[in-house]
Amino acid sequence: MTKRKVLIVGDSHVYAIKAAVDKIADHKSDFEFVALRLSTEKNGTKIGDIDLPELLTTATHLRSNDALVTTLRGNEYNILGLMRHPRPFEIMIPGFADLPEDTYEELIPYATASSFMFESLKRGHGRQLSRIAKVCAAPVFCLSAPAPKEDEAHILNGADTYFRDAGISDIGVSPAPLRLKLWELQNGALAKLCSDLKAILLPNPPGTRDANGYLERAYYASDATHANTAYGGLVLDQIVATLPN
Amino acid sequence: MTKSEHPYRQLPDKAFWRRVVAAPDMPDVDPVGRFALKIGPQTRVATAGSCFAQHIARHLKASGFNYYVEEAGHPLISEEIRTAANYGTFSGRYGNIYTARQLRQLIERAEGQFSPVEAPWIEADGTVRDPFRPAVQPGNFASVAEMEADRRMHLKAIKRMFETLDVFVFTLGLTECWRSREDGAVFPLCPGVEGGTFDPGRYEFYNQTASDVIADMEAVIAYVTGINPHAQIVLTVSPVPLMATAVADEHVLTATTYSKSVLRVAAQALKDGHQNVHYFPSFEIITGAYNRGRYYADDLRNVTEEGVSHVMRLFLKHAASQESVTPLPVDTVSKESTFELAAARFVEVECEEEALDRG
Repeated sequence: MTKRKVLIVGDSHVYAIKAAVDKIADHKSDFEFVALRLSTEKNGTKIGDIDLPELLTTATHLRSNDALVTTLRGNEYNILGLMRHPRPFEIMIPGFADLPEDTYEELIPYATASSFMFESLKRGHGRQLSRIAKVCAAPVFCLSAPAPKEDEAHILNGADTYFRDAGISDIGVSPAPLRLKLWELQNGALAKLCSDLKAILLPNPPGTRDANGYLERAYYASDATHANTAYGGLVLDQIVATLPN
Repeated sequence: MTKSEHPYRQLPDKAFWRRVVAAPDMPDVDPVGRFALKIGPQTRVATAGSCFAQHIARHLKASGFNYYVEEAGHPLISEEIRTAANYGTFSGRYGNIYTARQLRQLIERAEGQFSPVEAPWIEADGTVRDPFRPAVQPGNFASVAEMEADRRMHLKAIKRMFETLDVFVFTLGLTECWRSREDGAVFPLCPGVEGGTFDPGRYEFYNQTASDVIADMEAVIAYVTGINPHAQIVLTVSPVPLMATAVADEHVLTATTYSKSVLRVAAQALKDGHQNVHYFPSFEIITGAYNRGRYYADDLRNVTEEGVSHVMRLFLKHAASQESVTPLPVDTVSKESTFELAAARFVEVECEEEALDRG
C-alpha cells in the first residue's frame, strides 16, 4: 500500500521538524514525512532544498489524502519586538497582562497592531502561501510558530554574532509579556490568512507551552527563537493526529 | 475735496468688486488682503479643525512646509497603516474638531481642568469608542482600559503640541453641536450616529452664537499664548456646508448661512483683537461667486481639488517667507529605522545560523 505523503516545507522553523523526521526515518508508519527547507538566496548563495516553482509542481501532484504542511517565516513578531525598541511601546490585548504605564512611551492600539501584522504577513509569505494553496490538491496546513521564550538570559546567551555585535547586551530584550503579545498578534494574523486561503491552522502542539503561554523550556533550541527536535517530533505527532484516517 | 473726488478714488483695486472679483480669470482671483504671518521651512505648523482642515494639512505636507505632527504613531507601524488609523491626519490624533467649544474642551482636558463624565461607548461587538473622537480608531479600541490609556497618551501629546508648535492653523467648521446635559461636554458627532446611543435625557442640541465662539476661542488663544508666547494662530472658516441641521424647522441652506456667518464674524473679531491671530480667506476663495460654484463637487458640498489647490496656492504665495519652501531634508535613517533594519537583519541571520546547531 502506498504511504500517504506529508510534505512539510518552510523557512528556518522547518529545521526542527527535519531533524525529527530524520530521527523516525526507520520507523514504520502509514505516512511518508518529507521536510524541506524552502530555497532562498542569501548573499549570493542559494540555500535550501526546494524552490517555489518546484514546490508548486510537487503540490499539484499530491493526492487528496496526502497533506502539505507549511512553516513559512514565523519570525515577524521577533522582527518587531525581540530587541527593546528605542521608543518603548505597549500593546494591550484583552486577557494578557498589561505593562506598567511608566515602562513605555507609546501605546499601539490592538486593532492597529493587528492590521499591521496581517498586512505584513499577507504581503510577505502570504503571497507564497496563496500560490501554494491555490494549486495544492491535498489539504494545506499552516503551523503556528513556536511560542516565544520567556527567559531573557537564554535569548541573550543564544544571540548570534551579528546580534551581539549589534549591541544586544546594551539594547536589551523586550519584556517577555510584550513579546508574547506580538507572537499572539502574529498567530491571529496567520489564522486570518489561513481562513482567507482555506488553509488549516495548526496551533502549537499540546504541552509545549507553559502556564503563562511561553515555550516550555524543554523545547528550547539553543538560539533565541527556534524550538528543538523534541518539539519537531510533537509536531509530527500532531499532524498524524489531525489527518483523517 | 472737489465734487469729483471721494474716498473710494484712493482705494486700491482690491477694494472694487468689478476689478478683482468679476473681471479676472478665475484662477487669478486673490482675496487675501494683508497677511502678516510668514512661514519658513522650519516653522512648525500644526493643524486642527473640521474636514476642510484635512486638505490644508495634506497640502502643507506636500508643499514642503514643516507640517508638525506630534502624535504620529509608533514608527514600528508602517506609514500606510498609521495613516489609515488617522495618525497624521491632523497634528494630533483628535479627529475632526468641528466647533470652538470642542477645541476649548480638548485643551481643558489635556490640562486636567475638565474631566467629562461621559463613559466610553461600548459597541455591540464589545469594542470601545472614545466619545470625543469616535471615528479615530478603525476597528475601535479593544477594551475600556486600552481606550483610556490611548486617551491619556493622546492628551499628553496635545499638550506637547501646543507647547512646541510655531503656528496653529484652526479651521472653524460648525456652530451646531450636541452636548452632555450633565456637564456640557460637547461631542464631535451626535451620540448614536457613529457609536453611542442617543438619549434625549442625557444629550441636548446646542447652536453656538457668535459670542459663544468668540469666548471659546478667546480661551484657546489665551491658553496657547500663555503656554507658548511666540505661537501664531491662523483661523479659517470651512466652506463645507452643513451635512444636516438639527435646528427645528430650519432649512439646511439657511442653517449653513447662519453657521458660517457666525464663524466668519468670530474669526474677524478674534483677528482684530489679537496681533498673533490671522485670518486666511479660504472660505471666500471657495464660496466666492467668481468661480460660479465650480469649486464644489457634484454633491454641492465637498470641495474639489481644484478649489483646494487655489486656496493653498494663495496660502503659499502670502505666507511663505523669502526662504524657498522646499521639501525638508529628512534623515533617511532615523534611530528607529536603524533599529528595525538591525532587528530584521538579525532575525534573518539568526535563522540561518540556527542550521548550524540543531536542538
